[in-house]
Amino acid sequence: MALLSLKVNSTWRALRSAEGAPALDVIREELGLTSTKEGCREGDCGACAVLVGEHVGDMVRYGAVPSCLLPLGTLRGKHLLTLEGLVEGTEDGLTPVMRAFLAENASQCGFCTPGFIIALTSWLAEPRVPDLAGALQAIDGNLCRCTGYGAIRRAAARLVERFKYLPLEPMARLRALVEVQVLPPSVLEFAAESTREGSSVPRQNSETTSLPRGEVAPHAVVGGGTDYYVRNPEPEKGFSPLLTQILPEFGQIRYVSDRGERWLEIGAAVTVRDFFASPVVRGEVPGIERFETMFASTLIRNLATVGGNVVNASPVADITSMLLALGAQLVIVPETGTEDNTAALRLCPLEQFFLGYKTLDLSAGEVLKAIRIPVLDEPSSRRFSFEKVSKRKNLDIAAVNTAISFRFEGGRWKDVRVSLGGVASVPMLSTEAMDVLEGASCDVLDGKSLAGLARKAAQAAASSISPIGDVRGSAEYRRRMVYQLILAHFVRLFEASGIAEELFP
Amino acid sequence: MKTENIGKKNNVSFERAAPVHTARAADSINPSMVIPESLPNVLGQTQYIDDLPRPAGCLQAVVRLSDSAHARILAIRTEEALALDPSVRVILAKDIPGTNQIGFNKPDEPLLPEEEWVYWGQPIAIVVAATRPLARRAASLLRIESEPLPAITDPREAAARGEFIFPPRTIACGNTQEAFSRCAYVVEGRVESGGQEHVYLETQGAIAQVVDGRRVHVISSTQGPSGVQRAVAQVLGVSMNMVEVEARRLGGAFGGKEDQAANWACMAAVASWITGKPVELYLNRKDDMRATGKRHPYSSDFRIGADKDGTLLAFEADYYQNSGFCCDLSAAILARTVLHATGAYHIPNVRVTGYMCRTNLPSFTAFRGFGAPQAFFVIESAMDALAQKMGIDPVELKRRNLYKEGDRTYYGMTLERVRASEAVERLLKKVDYPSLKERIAQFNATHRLEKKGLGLIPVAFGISFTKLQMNQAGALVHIYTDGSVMVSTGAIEMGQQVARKIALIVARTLGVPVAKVTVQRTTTLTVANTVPTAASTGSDLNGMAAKIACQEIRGRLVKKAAELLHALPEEIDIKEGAILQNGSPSALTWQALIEAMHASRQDLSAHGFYATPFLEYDMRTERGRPFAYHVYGAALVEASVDTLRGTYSLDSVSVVHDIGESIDPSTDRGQIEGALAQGLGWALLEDLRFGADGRLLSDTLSTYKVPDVSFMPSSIDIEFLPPIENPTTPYNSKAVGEPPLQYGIAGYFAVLNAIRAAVGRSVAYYNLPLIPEKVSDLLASTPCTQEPMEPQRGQSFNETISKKGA
Repeated sequence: MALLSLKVNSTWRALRSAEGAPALDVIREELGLTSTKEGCREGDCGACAVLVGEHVGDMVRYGAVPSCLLPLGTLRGKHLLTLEGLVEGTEDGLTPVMRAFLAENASQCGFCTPGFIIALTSWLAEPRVPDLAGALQAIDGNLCRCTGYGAIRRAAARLVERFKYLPLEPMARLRALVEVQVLPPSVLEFAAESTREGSSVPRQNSETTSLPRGEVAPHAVVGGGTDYYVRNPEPEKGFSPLLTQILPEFGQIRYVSDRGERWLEIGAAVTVRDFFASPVVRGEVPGIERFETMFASTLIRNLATVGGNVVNASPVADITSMLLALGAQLVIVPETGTEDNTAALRLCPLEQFFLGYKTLDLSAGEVLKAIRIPVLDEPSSRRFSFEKVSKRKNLDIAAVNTAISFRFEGGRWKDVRVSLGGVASVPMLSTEAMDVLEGASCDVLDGKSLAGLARKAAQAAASSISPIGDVRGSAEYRRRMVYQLILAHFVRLFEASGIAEELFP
Repeated sequence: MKTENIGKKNNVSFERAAPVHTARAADSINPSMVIPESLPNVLGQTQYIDDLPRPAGCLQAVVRLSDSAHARILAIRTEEALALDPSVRVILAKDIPGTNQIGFNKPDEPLLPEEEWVYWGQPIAIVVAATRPLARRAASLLRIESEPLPAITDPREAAARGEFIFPPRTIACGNTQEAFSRCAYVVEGRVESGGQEHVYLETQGAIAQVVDGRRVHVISSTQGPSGVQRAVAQVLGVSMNMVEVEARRLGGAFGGKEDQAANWACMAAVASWITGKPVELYLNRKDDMRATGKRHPYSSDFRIGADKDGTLLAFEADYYQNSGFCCDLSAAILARTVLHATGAYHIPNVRVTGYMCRTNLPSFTAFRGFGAPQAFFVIESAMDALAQKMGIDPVELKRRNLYKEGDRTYYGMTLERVRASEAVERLLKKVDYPSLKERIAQFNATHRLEKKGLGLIPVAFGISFTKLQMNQAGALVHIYTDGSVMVSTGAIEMGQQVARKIALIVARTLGVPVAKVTVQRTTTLTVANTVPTAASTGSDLNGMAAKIACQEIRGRLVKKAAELLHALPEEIDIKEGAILQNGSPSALTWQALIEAMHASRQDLSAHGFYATPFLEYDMRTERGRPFAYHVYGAALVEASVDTLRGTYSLDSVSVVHDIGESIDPSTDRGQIEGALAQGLGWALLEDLRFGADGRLLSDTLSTYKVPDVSFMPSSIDIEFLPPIENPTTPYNSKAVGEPPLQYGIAGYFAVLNAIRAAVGRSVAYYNLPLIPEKVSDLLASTPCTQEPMEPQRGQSFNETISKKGA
């Protein structure tokens, strides 16, 4: 087995563990870095969060991820930081984030504390003006059962106050954070090592940067791992899946032209964070960024991939629901080397990809490479909305979700697509609701007629489904929520029309 | 915001949060001088069970859990598991060297089942191997043949079949039947409250090691080392002096590790005894959630009556406690339920009965509040229903009926230093209740898609273990020859910062700076026969024991100092490490005094013992004084409901709380905020779900959601009532762990009232947690959403309000 090189805190290490081993086990058992805690092994508590630094273009960026769901192989050539490494080089053995926790008495039993410190350190490393809302969002994937979050909020407020003047340019930001000892000097070492030409930094092996050639790999394909390791928390020793995140061609967002049509192509390994952050995606789907925080948590979004969300085939997958409404097509390639063989790729409309519960139109030896969204002539004419209900607003799996995408042409609804999640064994389109809306005439300021249309569409969507009941909601609840959430799309998109008054006089 | 105080290496200084109240006695403890016990926490250096360096040759144990609710065991085949690896060992009930029994309140809890298992998720075998994944794989290879047996999961069904763990318990006072006939208003109804998973972030675990071939050392993540010691001795068949149990800092417990930590410590000890190797058993989250007990679900009936002015005359309740498969702590939990039946209200005629219903579910156990929250939810539901019936603001009804000074409770305790009205009135003034109500009404009149509601709860929570013999504690204090002080008590540090409080108490009593004091971990060697750190009494009992030990040493020190200074003992005082004579600093230093003590061969150690005075209770008559004192307080919650999506959010919480004289306001505030979060979670979010077949459906953190940062309201205002005398605790402090958990119940009623604002009529629905699905069900019957899709109204929210003539 090839050695796997990564920088662990201030030291480059060569590890023998399998590419598919959950990083948490290696961090605790092999590296002995026990500040990283195991709380749930499904990314729901954040106790195992670590900071991962990587080279992106000319820059180095750091993000917090749950190490229980992190395939070790994706750390090749990257920088792994735990609390043991954060304190290196500090004058009093503490970082300002740790001091804020002490000052506010924000650590009670302490088991969750390292994860919170990692998440807040990651937040400070984001090149944005720190504010309390941002700090709280950064810890939306961390559970604390002791404090009720009051003292943690106060610690975060302290950090906002102290660090409001950090530079916004990414590298200057990192240097400043090292200066104030939020981040250790190893961060700048890593940046220099990564950028120096011909440096000793072990680069990714060439055979792992593209798909293996000429053989059908029988092994699993793992994207971010955020679903895979929930189902398989303790994979067999030596587990070595194909990791799409280390394939550069799986990580791009770009425009492509194919058979006279333009598409926005999103690599299957693009993380959910990068998907929502992409100016191109935001340009094609105006307002999509508003729905980012409805997907999982910051920690998960830093790791989960767009392709993984699709291939996991959860009937209630949030990104998949959005992509369905956007008319996405999947780019599927053979697992055996393809970069120069465009003929081998196969396109599959997303709605035809799901054959049954967790059953995909994807043969052994095939892998999802990218997702294409059709490009509109006038992207700004696209109207888009996403709705979801769950027991808890953040980091909870939906009982029901739905997305809608359309545009107006000549006073009529055009290219309407309505998706529904959580109402069948697969994520689906509501052709019934789409039929109601497509071609309907529309005055965006006529609340009365919009309300009538909303009710008709909602009725069509709700009456055409046969959901089941489970721990996340009864069948009746799901049906009712489909109705209500379709109305919610209308209320969100046509607020100025006075539709709310019409719907609920 | 103050600037940060950057400390020096190895001597970290820190600032504490601004004190919540400033009215403090002149000689009060200054918490800013405390060395933060949480320092290792923020560095990630605290070693929980699975972080400890493993002893050489340490084996890992996992448990194989049952996969049905009730079955007869026909055979357990181990061949395949054993063939996996030479290190694999399988331990079954027959292998247990001592007595296969860990139930101490009732012998109904075998460590491993012998003939049948009685709940889904019950450990039926211990599998040990060199690594945890190997052990887990081996456990999955056990072939278990069984024959299904019928299972009961519903407490009322169990009650109908007479499946009681102990006979029902009734407390009665006055004549409810006669009183109801005098009432202008009588309301009855049913109340359901769900269970609650502890979600301590550190799951259950222990490391056991046989030392010198016959003694056993156990490190357990437990709230009760003595209980673990007794259980381990019993299953090994050795005497307790052969077993040492040590508890370090716990990664959370909340009651879940009060009695139920013993199971895992015993299994590790048995495995170590049999293999001769050290054994660690650390449950993964799923096994922990499936196998261990949670807060008891209750199904209850109430009947409440008032005269035409709204003065309560009578209350009756039947509590069907879903106890799970065995007794565990269920009897004590039921005791706290029936002793909190009327909440913070005085009711002259009361008759309440609790039933411990045996079901084929995990043994429900202690969880912060310990049976009281279930009782509070019933009485608050009854008050809500009565106010709805009378057409008055529940806040008015509540104010009219709060406990007053000198009131005699229905169990015969005369209440002293009652602060229920003080708390409520202060709270209402603080939030400017009349204008707040007006503002909410205005908002609701002008918003279609969002409605707001308020909920208020007053609390009177009794402090002391309801089992009299448990109200005792011990402490060991040493002063070493360099003048530093060590204290070890029975109190377990699990995040509640009891160590910090005890350090402050010791420093204050001895008269040394708190930096000189260290609180060491709890072991059965330093303090014996301890009670679990539970019932909010950790710092009361152990703090008093430590104080008594310190007073004894201090007496010797004062005598010695007087001798050295040629003064009278009455002229000597010791404060902050200075020896004062007639109030002025003397030439004698602390260090010199300690050295002189040692040189003259005097004891610098003491053991303190405390037993709470004035407690008495007659179980036969159900009369007495079961509590040393009550903690009072009140909370008001404001919530918003999104009527379109059926979701809600918590806007703000205001609390006025009786903390006595706080030993450390920052710690107490943290306890109140933490308890509030758990209470709100229980009332609104945490949906513990079992299938009809007894399988736990919410067995992961992805299906069982606990409050996260955004669930909690952004505004939480906590005010302490002024200090008050409280003679049975250290320095007039008051217990704080459990009472504020009840505040979460106000969140339930805030959401319910917002729903009422949306539907425009009375809704009597008392079934927590009030998850969005239930909110949506309730909203669905509103005119607003009476669309073609109108759903069926559930049977569960039919109104049961009945009016009786005056």
